[in-house]
Amino acid sequence: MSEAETPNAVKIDVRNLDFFYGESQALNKVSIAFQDRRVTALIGPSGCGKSTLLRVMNRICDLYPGHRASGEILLDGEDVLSYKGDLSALRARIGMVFQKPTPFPMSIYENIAFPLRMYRKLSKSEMDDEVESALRRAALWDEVKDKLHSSGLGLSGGQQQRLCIARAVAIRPEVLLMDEPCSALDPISTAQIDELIWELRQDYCIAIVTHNMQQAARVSDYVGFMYLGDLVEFDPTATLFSNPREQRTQDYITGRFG
Amino acid sequence: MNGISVETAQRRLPSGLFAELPFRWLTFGAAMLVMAMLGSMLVVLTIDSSPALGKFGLNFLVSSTWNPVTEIFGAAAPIAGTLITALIAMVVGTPVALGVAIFLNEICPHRLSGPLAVAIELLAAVPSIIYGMWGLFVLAPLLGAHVYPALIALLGPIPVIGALFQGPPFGIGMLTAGLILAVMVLPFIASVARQVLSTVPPMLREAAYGVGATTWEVARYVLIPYCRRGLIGGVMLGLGRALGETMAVTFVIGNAHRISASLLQPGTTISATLANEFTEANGDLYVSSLVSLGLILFAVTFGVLLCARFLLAQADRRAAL
Amino acid sequence: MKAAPDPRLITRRRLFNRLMLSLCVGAAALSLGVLAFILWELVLRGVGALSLATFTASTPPPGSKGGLANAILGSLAMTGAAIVVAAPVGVLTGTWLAEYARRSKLAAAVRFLNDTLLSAPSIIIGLFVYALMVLPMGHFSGWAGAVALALIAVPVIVRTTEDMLVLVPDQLREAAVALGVPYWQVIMRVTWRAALKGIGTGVLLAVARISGETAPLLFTALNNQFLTVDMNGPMPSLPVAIFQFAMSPYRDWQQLAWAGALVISASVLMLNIVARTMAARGDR
Repeated sequence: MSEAETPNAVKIDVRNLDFFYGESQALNKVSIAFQDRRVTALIGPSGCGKSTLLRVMNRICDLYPGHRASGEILLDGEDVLSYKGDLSALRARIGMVFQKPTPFPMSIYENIAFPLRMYRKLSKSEMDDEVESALRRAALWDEVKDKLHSSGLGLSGGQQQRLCIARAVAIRPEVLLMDEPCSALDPISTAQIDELIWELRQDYCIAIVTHNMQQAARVSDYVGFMYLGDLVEFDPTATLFSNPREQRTQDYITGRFG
Repeated sequence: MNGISVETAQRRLPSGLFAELPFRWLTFGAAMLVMAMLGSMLVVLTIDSSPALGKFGLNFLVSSTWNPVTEIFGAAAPIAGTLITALIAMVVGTPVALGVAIFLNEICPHRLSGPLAVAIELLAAVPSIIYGMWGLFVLAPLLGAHVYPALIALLGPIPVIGALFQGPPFGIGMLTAGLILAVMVLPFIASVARQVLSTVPPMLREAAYGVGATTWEVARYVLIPYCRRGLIGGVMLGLGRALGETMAVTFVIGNAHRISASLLQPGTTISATLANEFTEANGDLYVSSLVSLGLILFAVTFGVLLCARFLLAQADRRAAL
Repeated sequence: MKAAPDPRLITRRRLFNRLMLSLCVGAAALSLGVLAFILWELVLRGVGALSLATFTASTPPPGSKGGLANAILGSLAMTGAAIVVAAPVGVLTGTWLAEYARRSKLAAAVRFLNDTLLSAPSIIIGLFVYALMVLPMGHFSGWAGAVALALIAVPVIVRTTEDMLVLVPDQLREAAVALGVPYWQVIMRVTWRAALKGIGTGVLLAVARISGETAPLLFTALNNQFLTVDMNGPMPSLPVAIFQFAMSPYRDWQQLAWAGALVISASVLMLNIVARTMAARGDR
């Protein structure tokens, strides 16, 4: 299912990224390229920096003080790190899904309409179409079409996460960052989201952080293994799992540590 | 360590038993004393207000006559004044308090937010008599000389709303009292709002910023709705305080037992009436009427605070999830 | 298919954001400005009226010079008496709530009633003590004033004591009990000691709160022109003296009122700052 096809354009090119939380270094000269219309997974033990890498890419880390970053993160050639403009416009191009489902305290319809309204003026029927299309893309439409105006918090965990995915794709980002999206979900919901990722792959550059190596093996085209802030190895998925180059990678995927 | 629970420990008492029970009863007695105080307060207030309430009945609540000479008393003016000044305080104070809370949590640089929050809480520590003096000697003259004449000139002629802004600009009156109360309730509401807003799960906040919302949009569409119950609870706490405040209001309300349409005119509140008249009240009916005022105030603040506590408890339970 | 975002919409949102955030900054500036304004006026008008005589001479009749010595002394006496009663009752009640009855229904009732007392208008408490003590005794007294202040202080102390004691980890108690220490001594020697700083802070905050209270003293201790330590009769206090002087038409009296206001504010703010620094250092 996850064979690496011929290489595509590079959507996000991370070059020599250093990242510090206060005095401690979380990322160490990390260089990695995320290809468009491919799924790149990041695996590694806790604290290796994979979530940090994701959070620097859409500058969500800016919400908290006391950090420093150097290097480059090129989104279509434009450096995200030194971007001085309006961050909200940048973040609209990069969608993010978090570890725990985070529906906004609004109705299901509003959860998707709210971000949409920020970017385009839409008539009621246009908005209805957009909401439906986003929910269909997240494979949620059939389950919620009768209760669009009930609260998003009334859905099950798996449904809430799919709502968050619908919300993220509704504003048509170019990139989708997923930070352990299934860690709070049961196996069935996880499988549904795996399928979703495979479909979304056709339209987006997807970066997924996961603790679940089976999931990484199932859905991704490329895998990066990180350890203590370094990118130890980066290969097409099949290669990394069957024939890793580094000893540390081998140790991790065989469960010697992690 | 074999995990002895506190309850088991109490049952397994070895020595020192002599002092254990007395100590336990001592603490229990203290707690019962607190309960008794409140209970007897209610009883005393009810008993002492029954002569007046019995004589005037429900008319007490709507009549605005307050005549110690003929011994006819009606609570309408103090009640109206209490409600109006409290309303002004909430209308002015709540938005400012919310703005302060959003500022401290979302805008202010992290290093400054601690000291600034403390500074704003110091506003709450200033004794109310200081507010009263400041109101009488500083704010009222200022408003009377510069602001109120402008208000009367600008808004007076407008039909309907203009009736609120008529009359000679004394400087003291309901609006001034309401404004001082607004300053007094502001730190309470701001501090509760701040605490409640900080219980929003970080991931939700990040998700909101993550879809590209601006700071204001995150606050208005995500943070505030999430904290709705706690925020309303905080507002009601402020309302409770505004209703019961005495000294600040007594200085600047003008102490006139009448209800006027204009906010710039003097009036009175329940607590101001009590403060001004209680020591000079002679005659059982006079005293009883005053105590009835006290009972009404107690009942109203109790009701408001009950709602506040209920809402805040719900907000707490949500945050603990 | 990507529909282009509307640039005008984005600019409008950005401007609106900036507007609303400026309003929030303005709200904070306004609040701090008002605080500064009040303190400024207080210092300006109070310092001029302050002198050694303020602390040594008693309250004068209108038109003559004097001071606030008797009022200050009366306040100290009544606040002291109030805390001497309120602190033990408050701490013991808080202890019962935290150590003996944490989850019982009775405890919930006590907590609820305590919170009610905490937020009751202070003038109502004055009214209650009037009926309780002044009427039966037939006269106003410093004792009645002290009781009224105590009724205001107790709920504050109960709240902070319970909160602080609940923060002490159960492991500490269990370790002491496992050594065979009887439970009442566990409380006195281990739990209280662990929470001491917090409880002390609570008492200090209660003192700060009652030092500034005027309304409950108006019909319990009334007022007194002379220097007296007899708690059995009407007693002067700083807040009531300020009230009387400020509302009067006499300039001398108004000056004294400002001096008194400065003294009260300085003490209350000092107590608050000390209490907070104690609490902050305790967290470390």
